[in-house]
Amino acid sequence: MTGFVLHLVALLVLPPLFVGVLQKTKAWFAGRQGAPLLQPYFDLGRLLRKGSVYSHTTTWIFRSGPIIGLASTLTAGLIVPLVDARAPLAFFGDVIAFAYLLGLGRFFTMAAALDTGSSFEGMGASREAAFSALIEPGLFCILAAMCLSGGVASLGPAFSSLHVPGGVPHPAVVITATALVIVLLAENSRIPVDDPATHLELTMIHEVMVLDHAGPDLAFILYGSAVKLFVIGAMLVHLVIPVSAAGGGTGLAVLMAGESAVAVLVAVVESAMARLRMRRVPQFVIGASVLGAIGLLILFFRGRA
Amino acid sequence: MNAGFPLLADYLLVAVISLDVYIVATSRLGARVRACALQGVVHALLPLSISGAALLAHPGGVVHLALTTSVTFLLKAVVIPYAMLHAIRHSGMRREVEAFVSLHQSLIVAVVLVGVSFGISAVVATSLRGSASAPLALPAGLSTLLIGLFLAVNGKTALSQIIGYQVTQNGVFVMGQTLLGEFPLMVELGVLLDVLVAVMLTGLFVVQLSGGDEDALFAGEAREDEEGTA
Repeated sequence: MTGFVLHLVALLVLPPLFVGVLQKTKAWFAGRQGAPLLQPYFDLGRLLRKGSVYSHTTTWIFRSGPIIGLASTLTAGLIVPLVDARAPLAFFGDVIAFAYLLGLGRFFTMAAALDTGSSFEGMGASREAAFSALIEPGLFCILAAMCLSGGVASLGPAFSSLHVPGGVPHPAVVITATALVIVLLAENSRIPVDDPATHLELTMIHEVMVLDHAGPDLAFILYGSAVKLFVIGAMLVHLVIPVSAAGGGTGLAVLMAGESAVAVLVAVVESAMARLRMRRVPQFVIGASVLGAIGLLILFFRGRA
Repeated sequence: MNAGFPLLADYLLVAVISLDVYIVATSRLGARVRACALQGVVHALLPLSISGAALLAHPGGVVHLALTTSVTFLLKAVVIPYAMLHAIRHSGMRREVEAFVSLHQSLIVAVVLVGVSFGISAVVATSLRGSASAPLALPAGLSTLLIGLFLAVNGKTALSQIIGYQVTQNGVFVMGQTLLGEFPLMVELGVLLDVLVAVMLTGLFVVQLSGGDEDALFAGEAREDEEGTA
């Protein structure tokens, strides 16, 4: 029961903190002092106190987009183990539910973007659809690799059995983790794929889809993307660190340290790289599928040998 | 025959496969040559990791191991890449790979080839289990071999075909190390020298004759050279 409460608290409260860590690290790289660490919380509070503006051309789809997006991301967060080895919503085959909950949120974000009738938002939705279709095989390869090593089609036990005794991860784990980093960057619209700080509609992917949302709706979207980064980051942490998911205070401490490391990693990538040309993005994303497939093959082969 | 360092061997073999995929994925000739050189480094370390302890127990094993490792490193990671980079720089050809199959499709082909070699290894491994000290060596070698063949067939210019040839050679070596455990020293050095001569000759051809359809560009450069010497 305490594990469940701890999971909920971590899932609901912590995500914006790591967005703060990410932005602080980026500011440090740029030689700026940067906004305070808790700025994402202040932003959310400010947006929630505002009112919303809706265009006359939009329908209920536009209003439901942010809500369904946040709800599906939070539900996906209940499937991934955070503090304990077992997630609150673990069941047989939950990996499929996890992948499609992310898909559901993305679908409604795209539908809401199309609902505005803006040509820029339509362009963003089209790109998001194309790239997410390319991410999906990679995500499934990674999930399959983790399930294969666990022997169960569920995320909890899959994580706890991937680690080689002695602390050194098997190379297949390293390859799968690399693929997961690419998926993390692509899913969260981070730099080699998409620039979250851009102001040019022509090159935007994710940001352009949410241009028409304001006030609480925008708060939901920002909070949802923070949760998404947190949840996929947690997967990465559990994949790489053998002692994570220990439960209780230790689990929480390891999770927070790992998530900070993930945020710093993303910030370093964002500071060191430029966004890829739109034509090169598919190649980068296909790379995740390729690496995931190789990881899967190695794990499968080792299981038989 | 658990005479090596299995985890190190696994890491090296996975690095070999990753480099194969990288070579297919990158479009720059120079990057391909450098990745090939890195594969050479991995290669030089492989005998140590797969059968290092067994070799060291032999009388004269240290010499054998040191000689193979250093010569492999010198040729595959220094001399051959240097010669090829030199050829790229001085032939005036395009720095990008020209291929029949697009990069995306090549990547998918590469994954299929890796899958096929894992499949074949899973079937064959049962009969080879006795001699195989690193379970990943056979699939890694086989996929390197197949991807090298694919690169050689897919490349339009001479240089990209040589890179494919080199990758194939790397694959043959990795497979050989699995199947035979160790080559006799002379055979190993002889093969290495063969590869070197082949690469040198083709490099020479590339520089002298220019690659494929770059005639116009190259003729211009040749004329400049003549003027320079005259």
